[in-house]
Amino acid sequence: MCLKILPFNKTLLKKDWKMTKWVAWLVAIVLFFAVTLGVINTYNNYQRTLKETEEHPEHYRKRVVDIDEDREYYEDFDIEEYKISLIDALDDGFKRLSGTEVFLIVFVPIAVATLLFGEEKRRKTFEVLSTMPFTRFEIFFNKVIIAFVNVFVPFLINALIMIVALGFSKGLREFYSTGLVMYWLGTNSFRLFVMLSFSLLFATLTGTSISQAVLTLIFFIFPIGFTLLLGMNMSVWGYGVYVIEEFLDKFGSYTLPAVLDRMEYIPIAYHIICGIIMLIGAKLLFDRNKLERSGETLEFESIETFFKVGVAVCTSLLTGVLFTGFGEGIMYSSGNTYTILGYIIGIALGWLAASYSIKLNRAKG
Amino acid sequence: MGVIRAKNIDKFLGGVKILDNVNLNVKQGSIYGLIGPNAAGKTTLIKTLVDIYKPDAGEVLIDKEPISDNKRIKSRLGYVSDFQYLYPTFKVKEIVEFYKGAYLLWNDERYSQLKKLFKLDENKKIKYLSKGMKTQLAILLNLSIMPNVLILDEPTSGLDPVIKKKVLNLIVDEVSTNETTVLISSHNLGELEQICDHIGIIHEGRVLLEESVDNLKSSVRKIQVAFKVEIPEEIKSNEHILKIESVGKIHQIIVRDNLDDVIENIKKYNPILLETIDMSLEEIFIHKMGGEGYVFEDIAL
Repeated sequence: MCLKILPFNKTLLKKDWKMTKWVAWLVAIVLFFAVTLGVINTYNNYQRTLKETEEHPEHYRKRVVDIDEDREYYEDFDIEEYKISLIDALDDGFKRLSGTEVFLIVFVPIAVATLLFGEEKRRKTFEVLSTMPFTRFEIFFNKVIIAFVNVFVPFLINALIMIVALGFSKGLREFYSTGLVMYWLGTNSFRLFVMLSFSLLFATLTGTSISQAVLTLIFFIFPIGFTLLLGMNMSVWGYGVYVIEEFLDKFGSYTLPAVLDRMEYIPIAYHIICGIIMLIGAKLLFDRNKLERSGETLEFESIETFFKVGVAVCTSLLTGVLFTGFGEGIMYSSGNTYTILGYIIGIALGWLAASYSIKLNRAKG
Repeated sequence: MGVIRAKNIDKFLGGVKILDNVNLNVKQGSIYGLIGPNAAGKTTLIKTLVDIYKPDAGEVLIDKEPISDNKRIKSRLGYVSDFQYLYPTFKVKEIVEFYKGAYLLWNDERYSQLKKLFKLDENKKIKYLSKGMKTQLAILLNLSIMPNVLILDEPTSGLDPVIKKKVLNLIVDEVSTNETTVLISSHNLGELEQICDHIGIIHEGRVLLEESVDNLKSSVRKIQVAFKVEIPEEIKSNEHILKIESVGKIHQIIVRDNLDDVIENIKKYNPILLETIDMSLEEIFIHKMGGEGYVFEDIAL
């Protein structure tokens, strides 16, 4: 019943899938080689090691140095211990993100949202869509569906491969379980959901693919990056940074990068609610997007000043720290003249860069 | 069905008022030519009519219904833009499939007929098509959806003369067969003269006039006249005469509204030559604009 109310449109779904499906396949392949292949090969690797230890036990003997008794001896390879270490490593692998997974979870939602929104704005194909018999909500809704399919499907495919492998190999069941794979799929789906909602929000705030991708990434790291910048500046002026450390300890898990942490440290309900709010916000902003602003850095003129001030402040904080270091390097003193100079130059540079970016992409009437 | 109405439309772009209280009315089954100098606001008006731009004031009605987010109206609305923003990575046949899925009244038979006419390679990607080919594809797609209303923004720019002729014939056929309402903008007034029954002139964001081509042509005429002596002063001072161009003893007189009075007046001076010549739309446009107090030199056709 609910599905009937929702504005699924096969034509739009097919079109958006065609535009982005390559991302899903590429991510699925990367994930297969980075995660799945290693997991489903665990039993084979274990068997091979087992065989080799039987054929060449001398290669696997462990040299032990007993300092107390001042002697050294060789211990036989403990296959059980090895097995447990493999099980632990897999368990840890399913529960903690690898570098590749972090990369995929951060960048794939940004890329998919950019392809679905920023690229349509840049190429002005949104103009064609808006004259066709689709409502704005239909266009947005079907894009969101395809975005989620794109980011979830690669993880789902790989989870299925790992589960199917369990069915084919009895030995593999000694190392991991369907539950563990589902945990991996579930936790990563949660992370992807939050990250994609955030990316979609920025898709409706920006007018080009480049500004969309860059601003999404900047604001992803912004809460932590800004706090650290603030901390560095406080230490330049002689204030203790414990306030910042305390702040990060208390509130760090409520920032977006925290979703990349282990699940036990993440306030899951809070992030899911934020994700839903961001999705609703994206829908409301998309309704207010004006197509004449497609191709501009920002979709809304009203946030241009905020953007310029934000860039100017962040740049000044950064250049303040850089100039302090530079000043200390050449004058061997910790005077604040260079810091203040850094702030002034940073404000000017940041303001000019933000203004230039807006002016460069200013749409023509 | 198929009536286009713009009511008191204002539109700002980048803080500049591009459309200023625009009113426009296109009757069902007519071909309406929208003309005006560069940067007059033609494309902005067209984009507002097809719901790409939302008006800052006023509203656009098609078939008496607001166009904004209106699926029913848009399912019978064809739009060919001045630049074709079709998905560049799609093949022609894929974009055709996309349109076929989007428009319920898509007509395969029509598409096959038109495809033969335009000779498009269906396996070619859009990004490899020339500007002219893209325009042909857009026309083909928008005629295959069986539109009630067809809005075309300079559809013949970039087309070779043969295809241009085909496209104009197709538009006329479309109107006569399906009673489609067409609004077309072009800088080529010769083309518009061939097919349009109504003309709207837009300048600096305002619609200066809307009139049938017949009325427009009958309102401004040209008289070619020759006298044995100089042209009499009384003729020159006639208030209905817009302009007199003289080459030797032959004078071309542009007359607005009251042709018969002017001819009677000329006959009093026994001209050795007196004939009435039809004016082209382009000439009328220039003189009409002159009559409205606009400087010809500023109007780039």
